[in-house]
Amino acid sequence: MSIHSHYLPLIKVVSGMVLATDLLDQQGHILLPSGATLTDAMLRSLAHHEIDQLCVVKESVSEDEIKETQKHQLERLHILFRHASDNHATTSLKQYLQNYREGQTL
Amino acid sequence: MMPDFEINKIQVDDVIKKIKDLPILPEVAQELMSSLDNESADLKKINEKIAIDHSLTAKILRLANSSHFGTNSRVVTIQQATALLGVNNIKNVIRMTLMSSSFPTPSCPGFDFKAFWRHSIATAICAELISRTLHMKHDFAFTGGLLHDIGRLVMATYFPQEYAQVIQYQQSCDCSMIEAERSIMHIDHTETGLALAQHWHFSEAVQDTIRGHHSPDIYGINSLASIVHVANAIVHGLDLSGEENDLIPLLSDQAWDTLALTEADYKRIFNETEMRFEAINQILI
Repeated sequence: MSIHSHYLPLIKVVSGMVLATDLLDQQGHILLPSGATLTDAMLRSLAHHEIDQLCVVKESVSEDEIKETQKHQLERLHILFRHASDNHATTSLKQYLQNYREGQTL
Repeated sequence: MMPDFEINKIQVDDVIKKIKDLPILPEVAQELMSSLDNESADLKKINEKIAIDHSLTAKILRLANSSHFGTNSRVVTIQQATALLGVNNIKNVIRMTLMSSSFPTPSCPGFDFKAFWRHSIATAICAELISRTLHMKHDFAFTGGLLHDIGRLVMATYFPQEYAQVIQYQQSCDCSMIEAERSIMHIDHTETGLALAQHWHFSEAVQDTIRGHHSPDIYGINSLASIVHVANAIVHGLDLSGEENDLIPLLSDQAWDTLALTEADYKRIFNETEMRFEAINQILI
């Protein structure tokens, strides 16, 4: 998915790892915000939420690389929408994607 | 004015004729495809049919053994794989394999088959997630998303020279594919796709999706067309096809409003689409 984060099955996640994206439940409520450092207690409670994998930060990636990827993704977004019309559906989609890209990294 | 009309007519008839000359979907494939969309399909029977096809079996086992599903022990039988991946994942692998094996790889200059395939799979995943969020039948959504652009494959496979011109035209004027198709071939991929879908007796919902994924506001059309219409735009927006010159297609306000999803819904859909796509991408593409 990206150079700075990856998905791991819950059984391979250990305490001390950092969550790379907001963790949402089925209704879209935030269970844990991105950036949270996972503890054993959190991991135990997640087992009750039908969550089987987590997106965590890869430790070897530097902050510069993260910023670089994010910058590239945001530039691509503008390229992809270069001829888009300004009706409300298109405008909302672009805004949501932009918020998603901006919130994705730490 | 007349000559244009004449050209148009010949082209449409030509395409329809070519499609009618296509072999019908092999019987086993057709049977699998329709039994997959039947929610109560007996998994045991599906497993038996998979076992006949060695390449299908191999793909499913590869997926089950991939790191994404994080098992420590090796999965060696279809039954184990089904238990691990879930019925839905298994059905989706079968659908994707059926689609890719029903066509030869097109020899159309400029046609990026990999990008086409990546886009189709990502749209299938995204459409399924939207339909789940709306609590609708998601089996059809995956199939509809997977097949929505099949008309492009028809054109690239059976009219490689003409379609190469379409691609050239699209690149030089930086317009949408559908505009380029209409300008050069006077027919677009929703029409060729529909002709194929009728010839292969796809379900009505899937036919409507192929016909209406660029115009979901056609009166009386199945609501799946709106879902795939929005999923298609999302997948372009997430940049999953990997095409340098990709473009967001026209997005209908009416379709968008009909789904009435919140930003939080979309955020989760974006995230899960990327995640699932990545897992499948490593195995199948």
